[in-house]
This record gives sequence, structure tokens and C-alpha cells, in this order.
Amino acid sequence: MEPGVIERAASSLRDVRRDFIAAYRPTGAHDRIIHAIEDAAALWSDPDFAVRRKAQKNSGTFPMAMVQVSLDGLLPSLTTDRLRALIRTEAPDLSRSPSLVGHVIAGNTPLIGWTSVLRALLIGSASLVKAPSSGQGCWLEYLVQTLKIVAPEVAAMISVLFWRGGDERLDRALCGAVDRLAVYGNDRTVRAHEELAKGRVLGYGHRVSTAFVLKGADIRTAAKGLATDVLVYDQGGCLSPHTIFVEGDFACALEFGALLSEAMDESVFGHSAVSSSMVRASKVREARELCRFSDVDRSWEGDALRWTTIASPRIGFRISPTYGVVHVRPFVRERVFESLDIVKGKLQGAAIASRSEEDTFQFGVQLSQFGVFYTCAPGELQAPPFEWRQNGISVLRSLID
Amino acid sequence: MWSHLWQRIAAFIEDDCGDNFEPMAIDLFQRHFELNESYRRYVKALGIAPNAIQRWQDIPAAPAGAFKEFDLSCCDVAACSHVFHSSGTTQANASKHWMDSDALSLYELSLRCGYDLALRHQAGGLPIWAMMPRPEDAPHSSLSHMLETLAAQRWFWGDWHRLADAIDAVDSPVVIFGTGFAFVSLFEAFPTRCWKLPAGSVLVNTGGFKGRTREEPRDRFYGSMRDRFGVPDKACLSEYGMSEMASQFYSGGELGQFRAPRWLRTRVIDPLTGDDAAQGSAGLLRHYDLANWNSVCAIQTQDLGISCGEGFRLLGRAPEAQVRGCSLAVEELWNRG
Repeated sequence: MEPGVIERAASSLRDVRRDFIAAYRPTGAHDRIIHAIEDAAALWSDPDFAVRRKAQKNSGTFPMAMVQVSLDGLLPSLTTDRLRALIRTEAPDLSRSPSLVGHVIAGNTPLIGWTSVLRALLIGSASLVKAPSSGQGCWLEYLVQTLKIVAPEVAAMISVLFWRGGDERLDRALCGAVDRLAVYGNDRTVRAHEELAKGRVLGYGHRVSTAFVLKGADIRTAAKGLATDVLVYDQGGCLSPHTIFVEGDFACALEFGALLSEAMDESVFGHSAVSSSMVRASKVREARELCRFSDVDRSWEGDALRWTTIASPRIGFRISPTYGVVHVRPFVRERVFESLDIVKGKLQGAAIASRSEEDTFQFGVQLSQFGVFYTCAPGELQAPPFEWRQNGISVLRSLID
Repeated sequence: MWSHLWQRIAAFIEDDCGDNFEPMAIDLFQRHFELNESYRRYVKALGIAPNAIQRWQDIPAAPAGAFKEFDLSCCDVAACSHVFHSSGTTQANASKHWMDSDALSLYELSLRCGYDLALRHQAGGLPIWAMMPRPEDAPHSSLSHMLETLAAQRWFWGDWHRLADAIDAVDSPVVIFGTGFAFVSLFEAFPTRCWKLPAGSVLVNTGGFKGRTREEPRDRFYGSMRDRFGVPDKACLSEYGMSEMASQFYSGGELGQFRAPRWLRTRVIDPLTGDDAAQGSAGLLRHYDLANWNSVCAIQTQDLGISCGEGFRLLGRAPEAQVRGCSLAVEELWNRG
């Protein structure tokens, strides 16, 4: 592909957007977009919807059952009421919206592209998307195909292009063509685009997540939910927990580790990319072997390297090689920040299991002081609603200010 | 009690005295099992009885990562005179290879004999230059220690102008050891300059881009070495070692095959099964090093290779689990210490 393709697409999108706004006038245009998003979400809630059936057959890197977990969180949040509320809270003055938002989707979880493009649409901006040349790119196509059915004029404000990352000529063309750029990928990808589009980049660098099982929680239910949180997307999402903290002593962590392992063994998310890659397998195997060096750590191991639970009395967050390797450690509430110190500024979300909503709320407030902006119940980590502030970045305001 | 084993191994390294690798490897394993507490715990966790080891291939291999998290030492580390760290990572999570005086002696014997075996025909007796920090500036670098033991005569690190001038001035063949990063830095400091090393000179790339900002494709790198220094392909060698091992492999050229000295053996392991990879298939390298006196004999690396002939072809370090979601790259967090 040549940079000219990107430049022409950008120019065309600006024209389409201008005509769309003019046709519907500003207020009508936003109503039209909101309804289009709601209608699209409604279609996806129907198991017989044609595009959805297509996704069943080709769901990219991960099986549809995994993506469904995220759809279950996203679709119910795409209602007129909630979208209007979000605009009222975050973007009351849509006249300042950028004309064209660029999106760099680099090997992320399947629905990242959806939320990024829908956010731009919601403020009335057109979208030019750089999609990965393999893997998750199909999900962006499904979004555009769906919008074409419910509102072709809205779908026309989105253009998805595919090219391999790291081509500076193309990256430069994209950065030069758009007003704002949302970049999802590793920190190096984000930095590279920040260099090219100074002051116009929303960088969504990599993050990790965690979970807490507080005293009095229903640990069986928590274990089942967290098994899903760990196994979905092979633990490769920013909302995938690497370490689960259990309030109490090591005996509590051991008890929970056993339950979690049982739940992972019974999980429907049997798919794993581990078995297809020697590098991945080696990481999992090494994690297992290292555990055996310890006189106190305890591990549980699933068949074919599918999952591994490692319980340790040691304090603090432990990074996992992912692919189903999860650490379980004890913690005390008063020293929770100490436990998280190694991931300060890099923590995305936390699942909290507790005995009451009040306890969950109080603990969530405590975590927010550490920069954790998404807290949820076990089983919901991979199912954030549309309004969640990924990487702590406001959903709409950040695109306008 | 173990001094006799030490002497047997030393004799085996120094001279092919007719002893066999296997019984010494098994005896060395027994020593490590008896004296190295962390390793003993590991072997027991595997459910392996020490007297059940009948072949060198059966010796349990410690993952290289264990050197980061545990003191793999047969003696109190306070009694160790030297500790060598892996490079490219922060101090806090570097591998640590502890050596007491016996281990250090065997290590130095191994690296001298390994060098002689690999290069004596091509470069025996030639003066050695080192493109790396001096040992006093990098006391935990096994590479710097190796070059000091090999009696490197000149050291260059960072001051590439001084090296460029020295190469211009040299009028008899030399052996130049350098990390990949050092060679690339020299080339970048002088983007258009070429030299003509005296015939018979040898270049040895010790690898070592890890943790640096620049990676060079291998074919381009070796092409640059050849063209910039004015030497034939056969004069461009590679050395492969790791701080966790006391012995090294040498190979010739870009696609060269690494060969081990007689006291070092390698298996290529399929990590999916944990068994030997099929002949001709890639796998992870597992080394068995008789010169690893104080730590463990068998080490499971994350290096990818293919078994061929009497050695292996190195494919490179297995990258960190490929980032395919939005999770923080594991290496980034490891490096936060």
C-alpha cells in the first residue's frame, strides 16, 4: 500500500462526514448516530443475525465463545439512554468534535476496534482505522457491515485499511491525515505514533489486571468467574488477571488456588494458543518448573499446558507469562498498595469478590486511589461496558479536548 | 569427597583422557543434588530419586530463569568469590551464577580449552582485542571475565574512534571479540568507513543485542562484519554462551553450526511435549555442562535451535510471549525490577 491510499481515504471521509452533518444538521446527526449504534447492538443480540453467524465461522484469533463474553458486556451498554448520558457527562459541546479520528489497532483483543470507532462516531467524527493484517481485523469489518445494514450513511464515515505495523511511511501518512489518533498496542507503538503526531495521540499502552477475593466472599462463585477472566483471550488482554490476591493467610490462598484450578479445569474455554506455539509452551513450562524450586509454593496444572495455578505465600503482584498461568497470593487490606507496587501506573482493572456490595464499593474506592478505573465482579473483567475508561482515559472528552 | 570428581573433570577438559562424559555428568548431578539445596528441592518435586539417573539425558534441567530467583549454589554464597550476572536486565532480576574458587578454576580452564579447541588452527597464539568493558568496570560480566582469562591485550568500549585508529594501525593478524551491540555501534559511528584487517585476523561475535535499542538482521550483520573489516566469511565467527554456563560454543559465520567441546552436550527439546524435538525440527536448547561445578549441570534455556550434525543451529532467543492482546509485555514489567 502507498501513503496516497491513506491520504485519499482521509480526504473522502472528511467529505462524507461534512455531507452527513449537513444533511442531518448537528443535532439530528447525533441522534442518527446514536440510533444506528443502538440498532447495530440489537442486531448482534440476535443469534441469527447474518453478520454474527459469519463471525461464528470466522472469529479471528479467538473462538466466538470468548468474544461473546465481551459482547455480553458491551451490547447492553449501547442503548440510547446510556449513550446520551455519556454525551451529557463527557461531551456536551459536540461542535468541537474533530472531523476525522484515526485508530491504530495493533494486535489487540477483538472488540477494542469496536469501542474505539464507536466512541469517535458518537461525537460525530469520521474514523480511519489501521487494522492488523491478520487476527482481529475481521471484527472491524463486521462492525462496518452491521452499520451498513442499519445506517449506510453512518457506516460510510468509517474506513478500515489493513497494513502491517512498523511501516513508517504509512504511519506518517496516517498521523498527518487525521485530527486525533487513538493508538492501541505496546508502549513502543504508542511512542512511535506520539513522535509522528505530537499532541494529538491518545495512547493506550499495555496494561495488566488483577483480582481480589475479600474475606467472606463466596469463593466457589469467585473461582468460577475468575477462571473465565483468566482463560478468555488466553490471558492476553489488558483486563486479564495475572495475580489473584486472597485476603488472609497462605492457607486461604491455597484453598482458593485449589478451587480456581477446579474451575479452570471445568471451564468451557478450552481453546488455547499454547499448543500451537513452542515459544508460548516454553513460557508456561518454565513457570511450572520454577514453581518446583520453591519449598512453599504450590502449583496445579491443567492438561496440555492449558492452565496453571501457582499459589505462593509471597507478597506482591507477580507477572504471568500469560496463557493461563495465574498466581494466587495472600494479602492484607491495609497493605494492598504495597502488593501492587510493581505494577503502579500499569494496572487496568480489578475483579473484586466480597461478602457485600458495600465492601466491594469501599475496596473499589481504595483501588481507585491506585489508578484502577475498572472494577467488577469476578467473571466480568473481560466484559466492560462501553463507558469504561480504558487506561484511565475519558471516553469521549479525550477525543475532543 | 568431591575433589576427585573435580580432578577427573578438569583432566577431561584439559585433555581427552579417555574418560566418559556420562559417568562424570551423573556424578556431578549427585554432587549438585547433595549440596545445592534449591536444586535438590526441584529434583524432589519432580519425584526423581537421585540414584535413578542412569543416563546424562535424564539429569533434570533447571530452567535458566531459576538463576534469577534462587541461589543455585553448592556452597554458601558468602563463600563465593565471584558472581556473574546476565546482561540486558536490571540488577534486581538478573541471573546470578555463583562461583567459589573451585568453580572459578574449572570455569577458566573450560573457557581457555574451549577457545583453544575452536580457534587454535585458525587463530592460535594471535593477540586478542576485546570490544567490551574491562572486568574492573564490569565485575559481574562473565564475558569480560572470559576475555581477561584469555589474556585480551587491548580493550575498547565506547571510544570507537580509538578502536578505529587501532584497526587502521594494526599490521599483524588479531582476534577481535565483540558483542553484537559493540560491532553495530562501531559501524554506526563510522557509517562509510571500511578497514582491511591483516590476513589471518578473526572476528568473534559474542551476540548480545538483548536489552539494547537496535537489533540487526543476522545476514546483514555478518555481511557488514565481512565487508567493513575486509575479512573473508570464514574469519567471521560466533561465540555462544550464557552467564549461567561455564562453557561456550563456537561457530563459523552467519549460518554456522555451533559445536560443543567434549565436556558440553546439548539436546533440542520440544516444549510442547518436554521430550526431544524431532530430528530437523526446532526446539529449545538444553545444555549439559561438566564445567558448571557450583550450580547445576543441566540448564534449560529459552534459546531456539535445530539439532544438526554434532551441534546445533541457533535460531535465536525465544521472544517474550508475543503480545497479542493489550497486556503489558512481560519483559517490560520484569525490567521494572
